[in-house]
Amino acid sequence: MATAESSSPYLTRTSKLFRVSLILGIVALVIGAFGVFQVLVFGNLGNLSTEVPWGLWVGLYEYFVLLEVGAVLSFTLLRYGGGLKELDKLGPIIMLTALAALVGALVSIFHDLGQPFRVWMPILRPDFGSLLTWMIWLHLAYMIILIIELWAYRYGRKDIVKKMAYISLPAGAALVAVLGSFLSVAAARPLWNDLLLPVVYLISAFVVGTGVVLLQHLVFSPVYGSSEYHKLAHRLGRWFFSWILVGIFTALTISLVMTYAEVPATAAILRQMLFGDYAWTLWVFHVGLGILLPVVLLFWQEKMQSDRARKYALGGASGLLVLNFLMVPMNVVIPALAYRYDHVRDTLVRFEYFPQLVEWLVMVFVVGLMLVIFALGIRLVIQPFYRVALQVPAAAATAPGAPEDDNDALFNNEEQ
Amino acid sequence: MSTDNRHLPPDSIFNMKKNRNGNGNATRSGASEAGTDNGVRNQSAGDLSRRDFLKSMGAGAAVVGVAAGCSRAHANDGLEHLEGTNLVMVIDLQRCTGCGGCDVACKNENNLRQGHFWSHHITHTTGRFPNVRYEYLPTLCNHCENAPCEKACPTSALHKVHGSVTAHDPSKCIGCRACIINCPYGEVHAHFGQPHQEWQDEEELIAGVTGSAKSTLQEVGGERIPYYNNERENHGLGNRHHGIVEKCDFCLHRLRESKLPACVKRCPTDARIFGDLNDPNSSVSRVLANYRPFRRMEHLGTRPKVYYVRSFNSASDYPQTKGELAENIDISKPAQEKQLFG
Repeated sequence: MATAESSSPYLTRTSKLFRVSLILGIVALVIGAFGVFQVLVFGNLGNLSTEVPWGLWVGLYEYFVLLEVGAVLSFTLLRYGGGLKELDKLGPIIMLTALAALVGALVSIFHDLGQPFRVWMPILRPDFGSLLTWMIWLHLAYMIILIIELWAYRYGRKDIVKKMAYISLPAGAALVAVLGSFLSVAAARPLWNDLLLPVVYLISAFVVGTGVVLLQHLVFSPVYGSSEYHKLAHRLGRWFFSWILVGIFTALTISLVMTYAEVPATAAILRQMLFGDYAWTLWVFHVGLGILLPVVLLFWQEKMQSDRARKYALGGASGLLVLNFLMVPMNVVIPALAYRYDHVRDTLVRFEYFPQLVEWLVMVFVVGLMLVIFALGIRLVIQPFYRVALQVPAAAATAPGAPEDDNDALFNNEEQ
Repeated sequence: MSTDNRHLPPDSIFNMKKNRNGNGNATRSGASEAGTDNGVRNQSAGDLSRRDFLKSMGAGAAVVGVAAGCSRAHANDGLEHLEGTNLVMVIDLQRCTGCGGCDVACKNENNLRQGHFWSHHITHTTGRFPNVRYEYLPTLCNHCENAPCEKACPTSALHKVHGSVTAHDPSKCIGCRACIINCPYGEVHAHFGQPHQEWQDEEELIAGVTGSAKSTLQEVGGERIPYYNNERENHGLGNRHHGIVEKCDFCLHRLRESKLPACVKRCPTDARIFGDLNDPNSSVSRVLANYRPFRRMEHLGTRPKVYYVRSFNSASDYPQTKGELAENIDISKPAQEKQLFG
């Protein structure tokens, strides 16, 4: 029987880690507020310019979109496509993570706008010919879906949870596809002007999303430490590894096609990405710490005997990939703008860009805000939910002959 | 060649149609009345059924749509005489001397800030001395028929007005810079910083010899900008705000008065020719009929409305040769010539 005692230490009411997270988040908010003040009051847009109009904030935005959509898409695919019914218990945490990432994405892009207080315009006076408008509207729809889903989890409405999960699939896929398409249709940017970019973004969302699901399971699972916990972690690890392989294959295919064709505008910029001044961000963070080390850890954990050691290996692999995945949108967005092929002079022109202090401060603010939202969400929504849910005898969940759809104690708490 | 191409009477270029109170206003008032009717019916219905709710939502959408339509209609105010025209610019590179007068005229006319050029140029030098070629390509917004910047704009801040000119409405711009990302020509500029802040610059161009921008400002009392076109301000577009983008709009404020764009007007050699391509007798139609034009990055399908004809370097300047081999041979020697041609 699953009890509150066996759940993750992060889900207990008196957890000190909750307070630590909240304090850390508030400190980050206070530090980052200096940057936010600079942006909103003085219009300080850091190192952005006509030549490099998008930078750290747009990269952050794309990263958080990949996280928010990837987590929900992967969760839904694993739960309903892969049939991992045990994941139902993790649903609320995933939705909360996605919601925090969504807020992070919107706050990041809000600061990137030259006139942030006109953000209502694409909503009230939209031009649906623009993919950016679609992105904003899809974001709003996605936020509503997440809130409804979280609400449905909180009040044990399994029917709504299931419906919202099905709706979230096309909505999430559309959001990521539009995100990729928005870059892909820019004929002015040869590096982006690629048919495959929307698909690459979708695959990237699944890679990082599966990592988020695994990480959240390892940290927040309500059946923390049980045999079911370790078994599910192992299965998620294999799914995670499979998605990493698909991602590696996709990235390699695209890079090789671009390099082989030797179209100057594309190949020259790609060469800068791979071997230029900032190539270390790609090789060290994305490839080294974000892919190779997680792959090694995932291989290694298969041979481990101890569940505890395996847990740490899986946690390390997923944590490293999720964190370092920030370099994916960064290396898609910035080099395409910092390098421009001049067709008249037949040469590659380089524009300098490195984020200024104000840009980093806003990033700190966004991360702090997400931490606070997540911590408060855990305390106000998730902890009460699990307290109620986990006190219900879970015998029905494992009772032989019980109907498959009704085998989850988490949804039997409507009356309580 | 005659230089009268750009001196045609404005009426003949722009096909003036002074019908400011035409169909556009009538449609707007009709639509707004319909919206009001719906609102009254909803109020009298008392409780809000699902049907009423959907109706009110529809009415709300209609009001938003009409509002959007109204704001778009305002963009063409004063440009009614350009309705049905297709304004293009032809730059005759043979006439162009590369003086940069167009760039200066544009900066002065539009109160552009330091470092910003709506009208600019690309220079390119190839070859080795003494066989060197220098190219000069005047550039500006191409006002593409299939404008990527306009398509990318989420608020229609970038939009087409009569004459098929790509205009920018600063009051609608949210500063997302999607237009900059999508413009293949780099002709949309981000305006960060406060308007006219360059006049606070204390750096002297030549230390101890010239004044600084700030000292010039102080010399005129510090109350007004020393070089400032008030005419641009009167049209509400001159004083660009922080955080938005800006671009060439073919001097819409001048077009409203049937005047030529500043760069066209100020070109000392009449290299810039401006007019209505829909008029087969216009100056631009005649020039484009005589010369094979090219446009920038035509392969992208943006259909630019800035055409270039002829070459900055005259072909007649080159010595007559029979190819690379002949260049290295002294053709004054008959024996070698005989040897070469057998």
